Amino acid sequence: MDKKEVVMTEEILESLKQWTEKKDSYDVIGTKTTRIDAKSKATGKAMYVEDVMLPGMLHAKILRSPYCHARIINIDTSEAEKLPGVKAVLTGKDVPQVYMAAIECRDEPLLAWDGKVRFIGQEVAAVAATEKKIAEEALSLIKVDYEELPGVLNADDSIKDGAPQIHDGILTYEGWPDGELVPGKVKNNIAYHAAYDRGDPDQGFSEADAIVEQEFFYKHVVAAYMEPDGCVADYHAGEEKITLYVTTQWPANIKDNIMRNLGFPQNKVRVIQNAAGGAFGSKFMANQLHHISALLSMKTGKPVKLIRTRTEDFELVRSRGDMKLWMKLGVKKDGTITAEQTKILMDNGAYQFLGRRRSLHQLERSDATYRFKNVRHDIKNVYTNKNTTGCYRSFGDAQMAWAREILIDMLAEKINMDPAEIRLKNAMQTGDVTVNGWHIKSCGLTECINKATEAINWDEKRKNKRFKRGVGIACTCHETDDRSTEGFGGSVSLIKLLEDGGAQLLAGEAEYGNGAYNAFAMVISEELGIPADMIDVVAHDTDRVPWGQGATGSRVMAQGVNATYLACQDVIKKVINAASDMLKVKPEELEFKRGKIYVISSPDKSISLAEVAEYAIRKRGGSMIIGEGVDERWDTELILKITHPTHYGRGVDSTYYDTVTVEVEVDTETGEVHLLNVVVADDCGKVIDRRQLEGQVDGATVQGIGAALFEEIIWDDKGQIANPNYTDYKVPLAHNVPPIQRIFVESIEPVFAYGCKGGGESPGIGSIVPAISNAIYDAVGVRITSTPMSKEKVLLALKEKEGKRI
Amino acid sequence: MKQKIVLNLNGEDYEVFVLPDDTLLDAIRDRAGLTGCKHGCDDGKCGACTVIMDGKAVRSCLMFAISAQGKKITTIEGLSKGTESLHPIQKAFIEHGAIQCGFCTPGMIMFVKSYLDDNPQPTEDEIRNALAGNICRCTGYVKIIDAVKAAAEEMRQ
Repeated sequence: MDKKEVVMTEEILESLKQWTEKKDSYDVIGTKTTRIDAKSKATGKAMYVEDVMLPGMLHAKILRSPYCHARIINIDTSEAEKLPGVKAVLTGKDVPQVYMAAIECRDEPLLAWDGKVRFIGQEVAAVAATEKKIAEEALSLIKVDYEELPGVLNADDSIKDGAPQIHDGILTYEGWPDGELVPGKVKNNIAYHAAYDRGDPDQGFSEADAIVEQEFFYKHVVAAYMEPDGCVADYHAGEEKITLYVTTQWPANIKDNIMRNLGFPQNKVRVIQNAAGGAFGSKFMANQLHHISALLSMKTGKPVKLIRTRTEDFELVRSRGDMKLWMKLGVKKDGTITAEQTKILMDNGAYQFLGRRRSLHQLERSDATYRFKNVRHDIKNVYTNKNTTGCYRSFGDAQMAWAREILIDMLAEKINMDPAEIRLKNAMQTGDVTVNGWHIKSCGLTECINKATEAINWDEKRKNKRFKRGVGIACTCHETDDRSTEGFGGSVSLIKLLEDGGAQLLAGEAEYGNGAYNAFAMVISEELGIPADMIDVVAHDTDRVPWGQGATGSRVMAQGVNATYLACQDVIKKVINAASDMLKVKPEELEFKRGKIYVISSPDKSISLAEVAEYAIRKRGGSMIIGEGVDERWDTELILKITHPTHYGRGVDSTYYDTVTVEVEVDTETGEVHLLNVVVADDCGKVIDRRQLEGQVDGATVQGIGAALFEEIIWDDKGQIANPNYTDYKVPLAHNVPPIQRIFVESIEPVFAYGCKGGGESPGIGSIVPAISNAIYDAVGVRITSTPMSKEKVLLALKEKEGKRI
Repeated sequence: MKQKIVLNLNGEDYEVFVLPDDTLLDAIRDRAGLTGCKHGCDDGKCGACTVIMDGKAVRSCLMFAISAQGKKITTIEGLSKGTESLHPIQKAFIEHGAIQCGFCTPGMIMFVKSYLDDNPQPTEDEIRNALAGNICRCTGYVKIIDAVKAAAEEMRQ
């Protein structure tokens, strides 16, 4: 840590002061509003991708690999092509020899053109037909000769000498992102390996009075969003233009990929998203289905709909993979953590996708939770013959929190300190520079810990051991930003002022269920005084809206809100100028307040936004008032330093924190864990949309409960997922939900409008899972170190503790 | 080979051409063009495709279209007359923030309609248990349960 770095510069302190002074003065921001898209969703009118019906539309289905590792010797599609109703068949030899989108590497060929499949379910061929069922039947007529290869289904086996080689070679970027793709060798199936020290971990451990270490395992879980992924592609032969209707977090990425991979110019690819049925990180970038539906539409000249079945979605979704973590912590008697060491083995599945970037992000975020000064990290990202992983409500944070937060409890026990107290002792603070060089400009972690423990009656419940009940605590840091590209990483909003005084917003950010558009509309209401029913947020359409960076790392709420706020200020400036023209008064003599323009010297006189808008459009040469807001990075000198091999000093816009406390009761006969109470203290910055934030906190917490107690993807010994459906992969249902108390800690983030930052995501992704493990230990004295904490696992641990066999 | 059948949807007869193994969901969405009910899982687990048939909530993905002939079927499109007179359940879902991505919403609302018709005064525990056949991945169910309580009260009055 560089002591000389000043985080709270004068500029940042000035901004902090401004937003702090205003924080209780808003009419709309922080209130509960009715979501602008709620009515169309409640009446069945909202249009999701599968609801798109176009004239002459064909239906596509995909033939997928039955082997986890095999060479494709031959594909015979002749019988399938003969089936009446079949309009096109595609295999690897028909498609451009391109790779799917990934960060910092290229290893996943479109439709297996490299002649190899690397997991069960991988796309091998595709059919478009007049009926879904004809397409399905055609798949059964495609004959594929495979040469089955030995597969490897976990990271431990995969890195052993002599293990089957999954990739012969991959392409990596030299000097990302401007460098050239160069062939890279893969040894022992290790796709990426980072090992580094920050500070002096040896010295740190030598200063420790106590050291604990433990191995942990976090099981693969999936987003299981309600709307399966899909695409409708519509190629217009006359215009040579392709339109894709999608469900995604990042429409611009799909556009970029289709352009680059299928050879379209900028103006000939259009990506549209109306309503989208959830994503949670797992509908992040372009994938095979976007390319395949586009190619089928180009081949047939007709619109093609390709929607995954639920089973396909379970088998293909790029979510949170298996991770083994060994962690060691040293502590002084007074509770100060002196050093941290990790060894992590990430089972990334068949392809890298986001694996490289995740490896470093998860470490950086974990290291921003507490004031670690000396760390030693070793993380290996490993190929296996399982489906590709990606992100699901976090980028490795869930797994890091699982290990770190249980180990901190073990550390506390070793020095006889309360688990809440040791966290308070080490909690990150505003103004800190983390061990990885992050500047922490707002941090409410201490307040989160204090409020979450108070709300659950921590001190009393830790002491009272009359019943088999216990309380546990855990904390997580999440990042609002998560940039994947160098260069511009902000957000753009355009606001058109309509002549009746209403407004239309064109946002670079997409809405996929998260409530972003409602938050943006609230900003417009607040700043311009326009009622919600006169605001239209235009559904995402890359032909109409600005470029967007994509919804990752909770950045939309902060950067999208900031861009919209800035667009409003631009509107106000232009309205004042137009009003000055109208009233023949100098702009500085005018004031804009709640939708009206006043002459400062005679405040009883005002004109409305509608009058100015109409004047601008009808009487001033047709120049509509359009406000532009560009959220640029605050700390440009800290812009992503990807050239540093392990990211030291990578800039981060903001970090948000949470503390979860839970009370559990353990049934010692069955091992079942009952959740009695959950308290979530979320350091979300200034609350923008209170009702949606509450809903996000509830939803994330309940997803966390699923991952904690019963969710897990299970593979058989051939590499087939054994539970690819909602019957066998259990997600929480209404009766699984305990009482949840939400506490919002609004630490003002100086770099974003209102002091907002991301919120709602981190408690569920990170904290609740280890908090439950810690509570189980408090209740019955057994430590569960692998997820999920099923009743069988808890019962086994209880019997082992008693020295009994079951 | 497709055959013509008649489905009574929201009080209107629809003549549709279906394949023998088309589900009721396929027929409602792809043949009749009513896309309000959603296609979430194909095995009756998620509840997104719930419609009301002769007064009872059914999962339209679990029955064949041909066996729904002669039944009175209500989908989300038929719950309210136009968009001005929303049903109290729709209003409650909107006002209580029970809708996020909204994909489960039509099925959830249709289930709740049938449930509250039979159980006008449920306790919170009863509501939680009743809703266990409809998955929502966004809301954690908290605000959905609030909305159902509010709708039940409104419908009793």
